Amino acid sequence: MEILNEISTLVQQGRAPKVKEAVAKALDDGVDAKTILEQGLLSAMSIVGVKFKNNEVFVPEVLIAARALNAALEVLKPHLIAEGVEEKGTVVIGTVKGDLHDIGKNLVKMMMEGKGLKVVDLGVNVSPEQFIEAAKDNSANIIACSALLTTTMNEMKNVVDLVKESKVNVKVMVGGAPITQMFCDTIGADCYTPDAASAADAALAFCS
Amino acid sequence: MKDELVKSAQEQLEHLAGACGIGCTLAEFNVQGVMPPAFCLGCPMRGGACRAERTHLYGCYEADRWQGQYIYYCPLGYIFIVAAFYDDVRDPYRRYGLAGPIDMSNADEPGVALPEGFAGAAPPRRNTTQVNDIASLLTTLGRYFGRVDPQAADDRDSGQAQLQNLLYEVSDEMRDSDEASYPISAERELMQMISLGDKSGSQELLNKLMGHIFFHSGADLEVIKARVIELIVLLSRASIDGGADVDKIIWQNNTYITDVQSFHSLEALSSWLTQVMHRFISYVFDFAEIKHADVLYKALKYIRQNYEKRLTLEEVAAQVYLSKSYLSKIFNDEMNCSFTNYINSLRIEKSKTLLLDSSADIIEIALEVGFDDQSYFTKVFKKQVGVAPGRFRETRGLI
Repeated sequence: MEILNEISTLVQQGRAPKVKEAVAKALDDGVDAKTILEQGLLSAMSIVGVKFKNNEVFVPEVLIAARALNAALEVLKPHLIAEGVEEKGTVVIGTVKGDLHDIGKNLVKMMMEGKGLKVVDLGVNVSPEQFIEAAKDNSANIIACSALLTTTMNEMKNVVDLVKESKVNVKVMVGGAPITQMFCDTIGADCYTPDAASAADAALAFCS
Repeated sequence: MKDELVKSAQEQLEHLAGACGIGCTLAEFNVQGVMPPAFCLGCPMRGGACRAERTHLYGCYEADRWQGQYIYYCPLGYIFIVAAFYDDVRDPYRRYGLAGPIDMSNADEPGVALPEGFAGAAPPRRNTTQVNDIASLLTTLGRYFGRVDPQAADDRDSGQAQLQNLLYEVSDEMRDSDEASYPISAERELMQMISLGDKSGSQELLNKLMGHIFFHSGADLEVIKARVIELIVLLSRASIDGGADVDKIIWQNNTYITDVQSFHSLEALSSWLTQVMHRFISYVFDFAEIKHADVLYKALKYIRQNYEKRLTLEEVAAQVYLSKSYLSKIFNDEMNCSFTNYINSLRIEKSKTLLLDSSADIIEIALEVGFDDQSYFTKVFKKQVGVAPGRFRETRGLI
């Protein structure tokens, strides 16, 4: 679809104000919010990711693309969240200690909210203790951890261990680029999902 | 950093600031926070949404982690660049070059809004390419003043970045396929490359193997260390095959095997392993010691890329602008073997891999690696390896 290609290009070029307009227009034209997200926004970030890997673009270009993505998501967010939310469950989400990446985590949060889950976002650089405390305070069903770096993914094990130690009744979900099913099994986490959509589905399944 | 050096670094940063029109300062590390740029001192966000000292401290921490450079947004939306001006990240007095603020909005867009009542001038606009340019200069300045060895820095950069990339590629592969199998043929290929002194090809293969080792081990560093030791032993044997001194290599292995135990992170381990591999390769063929190094290097590179075709001495000589006889002479003098023998060695090595890893007919393999006919291939193979190709395949290369 033409408008989706336009949105994708605008994200890649980092044109935050223009992409907000384009997303608003697409919504007015009746394009489904989820479609805009997947084919307009996420596809754009994949392309930027590949270009970055091939050294066709560098950090500054990725930064402005991410900024444009976030601007677009602001416009899209109310349309992604289900209407008349009866909370199906509560998820505590965060990026693990030592890691500041949050784009993926924010997408997962949005997809989960779209499924009717309540999501408590602890932000980035979250210690295991903070995860547990938030889970207790919010009577959460799930703790969801994100990590983008090979150096920080081992923090997830600390979260799993602390959950076991404190005997809190929560499931631990893990995700992020270097994470694998094998890693999830090794550290004893309850669930691994490769992307935001499957994370939302898995979380919903745990809560029902 | 010594005082004279600090003064000199500050001068150069002023030059950079003058050339780019962007504020540049030299900041000293401090766990409480680093001295922010002048702009931040007057910024109304400071003391509210932004603790400038800590915002820029986090930038410095990230630069520590990412090979000495980090580019980031401040809470207001301006870009800052940090570059390491040190060599040892453990130095508690280390310094950083800090450039910014920069408004990186597109030229035809309104730009970052200045906060209410802010009296100062708006930060200058630069596009993403220009930000990259400034970042590159700042980083290089940082390496100069931090007395960082350029070759080591380049190796670290490309090695670690490649590793991260390869880990993601491998993880994609694994996600798509049901079983992940260790690329054992890559190991053999790597050993070949080591014995031939091929630095860049071997780097690629090593990273691929490291990526797979990482995933096969479920990120358990102890398991990874054991696999790394296996690799080191293999590489050392390949280096010996390539002509390195047996005793020297075996003595080295002892040290390496002990060193492996001391690592706590995958990145540090893989970076170290790369250095080890380069050392193995240098024992095979030290270009620094021979004359005609440049010509031979180019000739060998051409040969390695084209030996599978019909390759003549004339053709290679033409590539390096020498006469056929002169190239032949240099070859014999420096490589201690004739051109023909060298090419045949390469072909035989390649054919060994094909014999063991594929079920192609021997005639096909002979043609594939560049021989004209099977009988000549068989003759050369038997002379070099000791058995005929068929027998080699039957016995899986073990006699």
